Amino acid sequence: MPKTITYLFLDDNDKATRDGDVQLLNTISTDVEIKTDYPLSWKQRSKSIFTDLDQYDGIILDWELTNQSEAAKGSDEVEDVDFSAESLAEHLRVNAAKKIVKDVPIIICSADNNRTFSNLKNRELTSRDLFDLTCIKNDLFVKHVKNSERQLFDLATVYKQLQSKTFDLKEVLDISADELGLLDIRFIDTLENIATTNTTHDLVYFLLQEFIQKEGLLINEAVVAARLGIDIEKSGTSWNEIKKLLIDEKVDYKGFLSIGWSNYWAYKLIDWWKNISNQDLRTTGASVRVQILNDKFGTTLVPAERIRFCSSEEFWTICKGTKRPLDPINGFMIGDYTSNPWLEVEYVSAYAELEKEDANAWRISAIERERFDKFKAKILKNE
Amino acid sequence: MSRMKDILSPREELKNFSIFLTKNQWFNSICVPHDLLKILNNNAKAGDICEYNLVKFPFKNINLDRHVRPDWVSRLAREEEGESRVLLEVACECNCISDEDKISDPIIMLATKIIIQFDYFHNSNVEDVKTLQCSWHLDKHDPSRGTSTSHPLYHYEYGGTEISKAQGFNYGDFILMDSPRIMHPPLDLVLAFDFVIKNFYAYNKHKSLTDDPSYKRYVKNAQYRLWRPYAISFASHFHDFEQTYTIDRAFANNILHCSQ
Repeated sequence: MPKTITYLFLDDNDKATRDGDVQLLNTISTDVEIKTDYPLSWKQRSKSIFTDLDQYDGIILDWELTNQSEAAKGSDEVEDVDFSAESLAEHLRVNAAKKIVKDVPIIICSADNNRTFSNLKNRELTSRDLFDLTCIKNDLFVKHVKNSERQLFDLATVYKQLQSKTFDLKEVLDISADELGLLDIRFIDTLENIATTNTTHDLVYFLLQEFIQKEGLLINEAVVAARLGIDIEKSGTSWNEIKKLLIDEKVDYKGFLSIGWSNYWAYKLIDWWKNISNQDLRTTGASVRVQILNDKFGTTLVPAERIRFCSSEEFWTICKGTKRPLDPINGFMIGDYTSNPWLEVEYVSAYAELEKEDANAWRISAIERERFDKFKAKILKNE
Repeated sequence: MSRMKDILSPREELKNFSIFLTKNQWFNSICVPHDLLKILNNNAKAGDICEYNLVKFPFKNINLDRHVRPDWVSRLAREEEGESRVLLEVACECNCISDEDKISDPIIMLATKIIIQFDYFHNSNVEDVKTLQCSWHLDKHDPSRGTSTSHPLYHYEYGGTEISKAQGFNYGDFILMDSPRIMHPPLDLVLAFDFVIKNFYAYNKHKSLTDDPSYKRYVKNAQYRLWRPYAISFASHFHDFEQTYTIDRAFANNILHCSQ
């Protein structure tokens, strides 16, 4: 059966290397085909990209296009690449906004986790909005290939759907009119506004950055486990049983971008819990939460343990460093604390901050730094 | 004396108060104002009833160097050998009063909980984190539900479920603080915040917020909304207000916990 989604991967490596990069993904996927090409010069590519779009549903760009490549050095026929991935992306976005070409997902990747790219990635997540995804090449094509394949498929499909019919909020979120009333009205209002006035990419970007990939209205599997007090690894198949129950009870998110990203509705998890116990979930400790679940479902779930130096087991989020359950009262706020009100504040544990390897991985908010310094001094004094 | 026309609906007040707090630098250093903005999520829904539920809202680095027993806790707190916090929970449902001369209870449901916690390393062992805590709750008693002991309409109760819910709670882990008053006018979010801020932080810390005329106005408005009907109903047992106000007698009687 022919594949339904085709991406174009522009990279300044020679053809054998390029094709080698995408081979694994092409092999495992029944839906997505990635074809590769050399970027060429701006003069050529800025024109040909429009006709390229007739046959492609998305573009993957290598970030370091401007490097003098082996291919360019080795052959007279190939022109030097004289533009950046950002300029090509901008070129596409502007023309999509003018409705000259269709809007497609654009993914940027870099060969390695170098610091400049890591900074760019961070910038991407906050202010710049050209790219739908920013990835390390090895993560995209090898390490997380199964996930990336689903995400590439989902992105291209969603772009097509959004451009082929009228925006319907209930369909996009897969939610009833009654349930819509339970969501933060500021989220609904922003979403509707973007859908009516902005481009398809703006809408997808908003969904990814302010809804799908962030803890807030939706929560991922790790946060679901934290809120139920469960240690996923130690619970083995019992955790799968709980997940199945949650899916049977429609706690999982089934709207747009749910194929590439697995999520659960935060409010539905609370409703689900209320049918099981009259204990308030937020203020009940993990061992009691897990005991209630085990009694109810006959499972052998194991409660999550506190991260070192933490006092509370009333877990509600995960530490962004250790990825382990954390009660926000033990956490230190990081990053952008002026985020949208329907999103949760992000925290790290003191342990993660003390042990962190990559100094740029996160930054404790200025308003919490004094509290952290005091906490650190206490630990050092007593250790 | 403020009049009704100066006072917005509880919902408007809550919104403006929350936005005001998130802009105050000192408040940002002790709280997570973002979590306050979250509870405004359905603020624009139709109807007059204002409803919100604030859960485990932390006030960090509270001043715990006074009024704390046993002494070693006081010493640890003074030497900053632990982390102290107040966790505030306010679940509230209240009406917007439209007629100033009709005195009745604007509150439909109220449950305010104040939990004081102190984390420390037991025997200076960083692997052994212990939490000391005590809590009060102030809620509206539903008079239709009978009770065997004295149960004033609004009341403070020391301890409560926070202490008994922990299995194997070690009573040696109690901190004892000054006794609370038994009878107390209701505390909604604005008044509960004011209560926590003024009780758990030194004046020189919180004055940048509490001396702000806007802050004072929010507190005054909240008192006017909640404490004016409380005070007039209370006083109606000792003074005849019949020429001035129509008073909901059931409300007035419940305040003093009398059935006449």
